[in-house]
Amino acid sequence: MIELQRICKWVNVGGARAFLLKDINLTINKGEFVSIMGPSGSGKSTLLNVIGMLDEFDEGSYLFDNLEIKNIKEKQRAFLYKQNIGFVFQAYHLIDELTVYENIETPLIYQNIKMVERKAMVADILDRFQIVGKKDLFPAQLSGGQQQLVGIARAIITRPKVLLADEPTGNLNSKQGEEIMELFKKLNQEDGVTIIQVTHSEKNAEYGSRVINLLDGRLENK
Amino acid sequence: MFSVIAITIGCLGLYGLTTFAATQRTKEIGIRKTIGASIFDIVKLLSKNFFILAIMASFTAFPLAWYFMNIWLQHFAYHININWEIFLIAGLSSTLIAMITISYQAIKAALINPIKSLKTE
Repeated sequence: MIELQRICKWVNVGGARAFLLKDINLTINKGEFVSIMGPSGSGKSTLLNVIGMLDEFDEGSYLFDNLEIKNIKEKQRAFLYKQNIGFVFQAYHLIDELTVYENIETPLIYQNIKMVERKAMVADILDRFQIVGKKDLFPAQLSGGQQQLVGIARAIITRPKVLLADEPTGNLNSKQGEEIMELFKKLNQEDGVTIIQVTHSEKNAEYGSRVINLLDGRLENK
Repeated sequence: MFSVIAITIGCLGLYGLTTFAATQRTKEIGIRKTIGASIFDIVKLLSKNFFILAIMASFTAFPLAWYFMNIWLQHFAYHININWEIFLIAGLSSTLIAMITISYQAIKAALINPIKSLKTE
């Protein structure tokens, strides 16, 4: 489903190239749960952003569902992104001015889904995550774990094929983190969502079916 | 002549206001982009409020303009009639000028790569 071939990304520092990603070859199949690990500054997040089409790469090829990302137009890419990819962040990144309900509903508005359908879908997910009682609260009124729950709900409401998570438990205590990881596992197994997470903790990486190690922008084979 | 100066000053104010709104909402814009908002969606989001303001301003200006122009025109023995087309043209052109001012900033804000705006934590 995701095929990276010889992906390179660099920045120019005083005429010399500093590689952020170097020769990344990576294939991720449908339904996998992959953990990306590595020290700070090794390019984990950059790789995740490239996979998530938020960031560009300088060289190589990236096939998403057999479509070459480099060759398609911006509009097409945006559409592909909207239909297939959900993002979860370390800092949750909910919109402070909107309630939990509105936060979860927003991606659906951008997909031009009708009001009635939106209502049903949001109600469904609120129910599933057991946060129905919180739907009229604002993000600031929730605990970190609950905010992340909303973040995940927002990411999966559009039923993406791929869920990308950038240190989803980084700001949470271990118990909340465990709950979030269990939820990921369930999403992966029951809904067949492909999950790619960046993590620092060995424990969280174990939830995945495969671990990828990055060092200085390169893949390390163990 | 004076109207040109007045409009320019008005636009400068509006321009500053949108710049302010856009920088204040950089993070929100970034989030919205990562959850699937298109550039057009963002421009719409930022322009909507100002658009409403421009319309409201036009409607408050219409009766005042009509009243004072009427008085002023009384001084002339041969004078034109004020008809509704004048107000329509004035309203449309002022809204148009306002939208051009706003959209520059709005498009600029919408084009920022979301990872850049979300990184600053």
